[in-house]
Amino acid sequence: MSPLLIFIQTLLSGLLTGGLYVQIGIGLSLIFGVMRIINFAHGELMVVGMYLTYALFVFLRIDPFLSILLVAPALFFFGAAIERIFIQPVLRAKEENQILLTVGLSLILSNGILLLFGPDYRNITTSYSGAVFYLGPISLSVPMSLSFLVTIVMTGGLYLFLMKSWTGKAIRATAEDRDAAMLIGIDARRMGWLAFGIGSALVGVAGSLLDPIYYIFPAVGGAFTLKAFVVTVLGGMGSITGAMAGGLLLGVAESLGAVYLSSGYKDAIGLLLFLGVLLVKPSGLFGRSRL
Amino acid sequence: MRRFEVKGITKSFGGLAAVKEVSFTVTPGETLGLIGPNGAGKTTLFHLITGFIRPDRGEVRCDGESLVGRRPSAICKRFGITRTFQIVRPLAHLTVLENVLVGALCRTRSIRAATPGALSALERVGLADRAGDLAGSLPIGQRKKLEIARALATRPQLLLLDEVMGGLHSHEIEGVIALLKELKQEGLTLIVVEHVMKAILALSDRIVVLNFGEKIAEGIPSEVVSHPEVIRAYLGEEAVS
Amino acid sequence: MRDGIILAVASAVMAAVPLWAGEGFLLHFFILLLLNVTLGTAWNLIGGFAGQLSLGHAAFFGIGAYGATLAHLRWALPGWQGMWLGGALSLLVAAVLGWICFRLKGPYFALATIALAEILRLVAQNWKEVTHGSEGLLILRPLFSSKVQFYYAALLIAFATLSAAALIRHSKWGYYLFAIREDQEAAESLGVNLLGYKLLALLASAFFTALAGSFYAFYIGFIDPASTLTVERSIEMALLAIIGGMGTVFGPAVGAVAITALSEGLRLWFLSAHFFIYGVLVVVVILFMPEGIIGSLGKFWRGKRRAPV
Ligand SMILES: Nc1ncnc2c1ncn2[C@@H]1O[C@H](COP(=O)(O)OP(=O)(O)OP(=O)(O)O)[C@@H](O)[C@H]1O
Ligand SMILES: [Mg+2]
Repeated sequence: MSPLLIFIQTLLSGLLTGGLYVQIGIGLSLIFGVMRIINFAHGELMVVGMYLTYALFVFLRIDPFLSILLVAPALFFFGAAIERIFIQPVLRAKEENQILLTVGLSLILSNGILLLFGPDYRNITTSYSGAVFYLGPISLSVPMSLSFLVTIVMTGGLYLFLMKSWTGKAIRATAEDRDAAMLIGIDARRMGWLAFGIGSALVGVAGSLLDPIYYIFPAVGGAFTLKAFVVTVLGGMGSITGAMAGGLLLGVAESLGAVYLSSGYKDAIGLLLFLGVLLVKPSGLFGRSRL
Repeated sequence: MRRFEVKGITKSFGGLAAVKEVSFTVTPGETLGLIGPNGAGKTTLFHLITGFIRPDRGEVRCDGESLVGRRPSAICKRFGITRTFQIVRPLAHLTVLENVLVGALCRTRSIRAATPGALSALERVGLADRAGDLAGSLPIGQRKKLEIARALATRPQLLLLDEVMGGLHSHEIEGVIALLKELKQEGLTLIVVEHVMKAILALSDRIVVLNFGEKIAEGIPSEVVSHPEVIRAYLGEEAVS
Repeated sequence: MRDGIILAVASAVMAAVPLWAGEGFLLHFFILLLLNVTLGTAWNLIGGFAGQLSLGHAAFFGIGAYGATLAHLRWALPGWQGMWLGGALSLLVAAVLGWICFRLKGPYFALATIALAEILRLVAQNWKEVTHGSEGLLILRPLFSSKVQFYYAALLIAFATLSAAALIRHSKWGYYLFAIREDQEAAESLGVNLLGYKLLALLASAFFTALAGSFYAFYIGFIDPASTLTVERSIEMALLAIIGGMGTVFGPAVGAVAITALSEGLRLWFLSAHFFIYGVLVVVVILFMPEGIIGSLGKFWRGKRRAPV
C-alpha cells in the first residue's frame, strides 16, 4: 500500500471511530450545558447500554443494531431517573460534591455490573463483525460504518430537535442562562432530567454500537468517560457543535497517532491534546466554552 | 494618601456595552456616590476597578500606576483597593470571625496579630456578638455587614461599597450611614453605590451618574439631582423616591 | 494546640502497637492503616482544605513508587534517598499541573488530574525497557529487615504528614485555603493570591503522597501499573478524606481507620465488591452527611450553628 493510501485509510477509520466519540461526548456536553454538572458516570452509562445489548443478543437473539430501539428508551428513563433521584438534590451543592456524587454513581454502576456479570471479557460475534467493504483500494469495517451512519442520524436528529422543537429550544435556553430561562416560564428542572435522559440514551446507544466490535467488560466505562471529557474540552464545555468537531478530531488524532507514533500510547494522545488545550485555549478549539 | 483615577474605561458583553468611556477621579479622603438605574453598569465598574474583569479599553490608575491586568488580590494587597459584593459572598462554612480574619491576614502573617484588627472590624459593624457563628447562618442584613467588616479588615485605602444597604431595615440603614460617616472622618476614601437616595445624599461629596454604561452627570449632590439628564434617566424609576 | 495534643497522644498510642501486635497480619494491617492515614491527609490538603478536587492522586503515588524503585534498581540509591527523588519529581509534575489548571475557573483541575494519572499509567505500561510494563518491578533487597522497622517508618511519615496538616490548618495559609474553598472570588477580593496558595497546597499534597508511594514500593517490594497508577487508587485516596471529613485535620485519619478496616474486611469475603460499597458510601455521604464523620460529629456538638448547604 502506498503511503498516501495508508494515510487516507487511517484518516477514514479515524473518522468512523470519531463518530462514536461524538455520540459519547455530545451527551456529556449536553448534560453539562444544561446542569453545569460533569457526569463522571457517563462511561458507565455506556457500559449499561453495552450489557443491555449483550443480554438482548444472548437471551433473545436481537441484533445489536436492532436493539438500539430498546436501549435508547431504556437508557433515557434510566438516566432521567438517576437525575431525579441523585442529581437533583445536589444541584445547588458545591461543585466538588456534585463531582463526587457522580463518581460514586460510576463506582456503583461499574461494580454493580461486575457483581452481576463477573469480570470476564465478553463479545458479541455477528455475521458482520469482521466484515469489510472496499472503496477502491480502501477497506472499511462494515459495523463501524453502520455505527457511523447511526451516529449521524442520531446526532443530526438531536441537532434538529434542539434547534427546531419548542422543548429543544427550552433546553438550549436553560443551558444559555438558567435563571433567565426560569423567568420566562421554562421548567428548568424538567430540562435537567430531559437532558440527562437524552445524554444517557445517546451514550447507551454508543454502547450498543460498540458491542460487535469491542470487548465487553465491567471496567470498560472509565476509559470512555475520559474520552468524553476530552471531546467536551476540545469542543468547549457545553457546546454541542463543538462536541461534534471534538469527537471527530479525537478519533482522527488517535488513529493517526496509533499508525505513525505508537499504538501503545494511542489513548494518551487524546489526554495530551486535552492538557495542551487547557494550556493554550481552555475555552476549547471550536466555539466558546459555556463556563 | 493615594489618588485614584478611572480613564476612558470600556467593557462590552457580547454586543452590549455595560460600561462605556467612563472617566473620573477620586481624591484622597473623598466619598464618591455612584448612582444609576438598574443595569447602568455600576457593579461592572466595580469589577473593572478591582481587577475582576479586564477592560476592553481605558485604564484604572492609582498614583499614576496602571492597575490593568493585575489580579484582584494584588490590587487589594498592594494598592489597598477592595470592594464588597452586591450579591453577598460569605465564606459560609467559616465563622464570622474567621471570615474577617481572612481579610485581616492581608496585612500580617500571624493569626495572633490579625485577631485584634478582625475583632475591632466586627465591633464597628456591630457583629461582635456573632463572632463564633457560621457566616452561612447569618440573615441577609448581617451578611451585608460582614461584607463591610471583612473589607475593612484588609485596611483599605479605597473601599468600594456595592449596595451595602439593600435589604436592610431603616434603623439598620441609619447605623450603616453612621459607620460610613465615621470611616470618612478617619480619612478613608469611599465609592458608594446605593439605591437608597437618602444615604447617597447624606454621604457623598460628589456624585457620578451612570446610565446605560455612560457617565451622564458628575458634580456635587445638589447639582446632580436637579440635572435634567439624571431626572430623565430616573423617570419612572422607583429608586428616585 | 488542641490538635497538637491529639496528635501527640495518638502517636504515643500508635508507637506502642508493635509491642502487642506481633509481626503478622495485625502489624501489616496497621502499616496499611498508617499508609492510608498519610494518603488521606495528603489528599485532604488540596482536596479538602483548598476544595480543589483531585481524582488523579495516583499520579503522585506512582511517581513516588516508580521514582524510588527505579533509583534503587538502576543507580543503587538507598531507600531514603530514592524517596527524596520521588518526592522531588512529584513536586515538579505538580507544579506544571497546577500552573496549567489553577489559572482556570471551573472543573478543569479534577479532569486534568485524571488525565495526568492516566498518561502516567500508559507510560508505565508501555515504556517497557525501564518500567517492565505490566510485569512490574521487583525490589529484592528491601529497605528494612523487619516489619517493625517498616511500621515505625510508616508511623513517622504519617506523623509528619499530620503535623504538616495541623500546622497549615492553623496558619495564614490554612485560612486562605479555606477561604478559597468557600468562595474564590471573595477570597481574591480580600487579597488572597489564588494561584500561589492553591499551588503551594498541591505541592505539599503531592510531596507527601509521593513519600507514601515510595514507602509502599519498599514495603510491598513489588510495583506495577495496576497497583500504583489506577483510577481506583486515586478514588480510594479521595474517599479516605470524604468519609472522614474533608477539610478537617483528623478527618482523613478517621476515614483511614474506617476504610482500611472495611477494605481488609471485605477483601477477606468478596474481593470484587468493595468498590461497590465505596460507591454506595460516597453517594450516601454526599447526600446525607457531606461533612463526613468528623464534620457531622462537630455539627452535632455545636448544635444550632448550622450553615445552609
Ligand atoms: N457577566 C456578564 N455577562 C453579560 N452581561 C453582563 C454581565 N455582567 C453584567 N452584564 C450586563 O451589563 C449591564 C450592567 O450590569 P451591572 O450589573 O453593572 O449593572 P448595575 O448598575 O450594577 O445594576 P444594579 O443596580 O441592578 O445592580 C447589564 O445590562 C447586565 O445585564
Ligand atoms: Mg449592581
